[in-house]
Amino acid sequence: MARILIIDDDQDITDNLTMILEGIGHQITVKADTDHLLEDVRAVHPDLIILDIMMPEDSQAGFKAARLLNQDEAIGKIPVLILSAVNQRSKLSFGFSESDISTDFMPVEAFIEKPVEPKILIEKINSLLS
Amino acid sequence: MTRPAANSAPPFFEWDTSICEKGLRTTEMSERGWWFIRTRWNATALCFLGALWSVLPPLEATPRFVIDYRFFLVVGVLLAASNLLYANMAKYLIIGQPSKKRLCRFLSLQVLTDYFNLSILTYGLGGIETPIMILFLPHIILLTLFFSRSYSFVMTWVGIFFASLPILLEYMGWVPIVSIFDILHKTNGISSNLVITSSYILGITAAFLICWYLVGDITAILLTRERQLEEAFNRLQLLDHEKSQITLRATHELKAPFAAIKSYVYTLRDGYCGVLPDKAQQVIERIGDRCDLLMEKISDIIHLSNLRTATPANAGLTENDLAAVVLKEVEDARLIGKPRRVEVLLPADPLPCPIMASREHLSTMISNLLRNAVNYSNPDGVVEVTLEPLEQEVVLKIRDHGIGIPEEHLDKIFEEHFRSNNAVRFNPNSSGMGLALVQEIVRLHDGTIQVSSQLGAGSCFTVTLPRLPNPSKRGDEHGQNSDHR
Repeated sequence: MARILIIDDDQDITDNLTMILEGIGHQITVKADTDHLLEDVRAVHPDLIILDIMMPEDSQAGFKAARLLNQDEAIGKIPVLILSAVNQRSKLSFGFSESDISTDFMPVEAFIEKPVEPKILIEKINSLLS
Repeated sequence: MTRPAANSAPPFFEWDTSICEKGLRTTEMSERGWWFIRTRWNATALCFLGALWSVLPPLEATPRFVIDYRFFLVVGVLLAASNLLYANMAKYLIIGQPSKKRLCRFLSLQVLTDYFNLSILTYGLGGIETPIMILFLPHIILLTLFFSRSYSFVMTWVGIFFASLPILLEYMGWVPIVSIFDILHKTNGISSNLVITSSYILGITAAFLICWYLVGDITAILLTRERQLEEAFNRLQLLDHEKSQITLRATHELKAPFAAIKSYVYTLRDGYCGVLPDKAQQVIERIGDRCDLLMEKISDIIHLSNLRTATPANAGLTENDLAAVVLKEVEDARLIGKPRRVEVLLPADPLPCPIMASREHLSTMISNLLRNAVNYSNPDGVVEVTLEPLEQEVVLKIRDHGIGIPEEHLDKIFEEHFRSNNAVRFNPNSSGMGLALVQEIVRLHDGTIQVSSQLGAGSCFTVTLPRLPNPSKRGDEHGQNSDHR
């Protein structure tokens, strides 16, 4: 089974994800913010990172964290799944300009909108881990 | 160097060491630089024509002017030579990213050259006898636009000097007197008369200074207004960005708790906390349904509020193919209609319909209309979608054969939260926001929406949006333009 790092400030979400994912044997570590991100990722050494986008400190914290992770040669190989309450259909929803196609809009392997059905989440996690 | 306080009113005449701290922007100055050069070629041609006219025998009907062709010739050659030099200099100075200071110096040099040439021409055309020094005025107007107030003031005095020089030199007897009418009369009368000469010079001085003052004053007012507009525009952009951020935060704050509740509902429903009794399972399902409805309402209210403050300028409209969006949304609608066997028909692959639009808003508009059509169709019903690209516009029609809308409600269906009685009975789980959103999206895209309906027989929504020419057609036009060039 895999080591999964969940970064989300909403404790109900992290508790729920932990309940589901530990129930099927994954090892879960929870982090409530993106401070000292690289150090924590190196310490946990996860197989998958589940990341929220909007944190209290910054509405694009998840994107910034994903870019930071991508820049690190070793950590950049870890798949990242974004889980957000804001719909991903539009860049505008996240404060990007629609014409700004150069922006690395979604520098992650997958996106799921909250709330997520456990079955869909598990399928997505399995595909990312495989 | 001391500077006035930022909030104190600027003095009328502020002597600054910079020649171009105020005035036009670099791009505008570059354009004027080229304009100067182009206009000087015309002036050069006129000088050569003047030289030619001076040597031709006069026509019977024209008065006999005595003009020495050499003045026109000298000025024409000087203008041509200096303009060749300036055209080459402009290639280095204006093309690329010139500094404003260098442009100012370059334009100053051109103005000085023109002053010198105009001075020779004034002398050659009899000085006081002709109004040729009027040609100094456009230069004074332009340099007042180009340069700072103090620098343009100095340059205006330089202009006065060059305009007065031929008259002054003639009066002093340092150069031979030139007349195009009557050399004897001028030698004995006008040019040797101190009152006439000094009045003339004073007249030039007053005219040039009044011109500098008026143009400078109007320019200063216009520049101040322009800067105020620019600041207001920047403030609006900032406010728009802040508004987006607040909306984003509000959306998140309102949706996040429901997302957490719904996640727990899923976890309970799917048995991750153990198997639930049937009744508990039903209750959980209903909690989930109400959560969905509430989340949808919140999203729609925020979406509608955003749309009402949106304009085509800030909505991020880009070129989109309406046909592609319709195809995708029809596929989604077919899935929604499947449980009740409602068929969604799109007769043939629609032709490309390029329009300026936000793809997100287009998707919302079409999906709302299709959802309504499917949801208010009877089981085994049919929804017909047609997309017709016309010359100037695109017409999208979505027709269902469902419950229809009572005639007295047709003018209210685009109001938010409004739902007709038969619609509430047929489909209780709807936010009543869908058509309000559709109408706002149509407005944002400068289109129109019409509805026709018959109770019990169905409804037809017709959306008309302005279209762009096809890419192939635009390519042809571009090619034709290129050929012309």
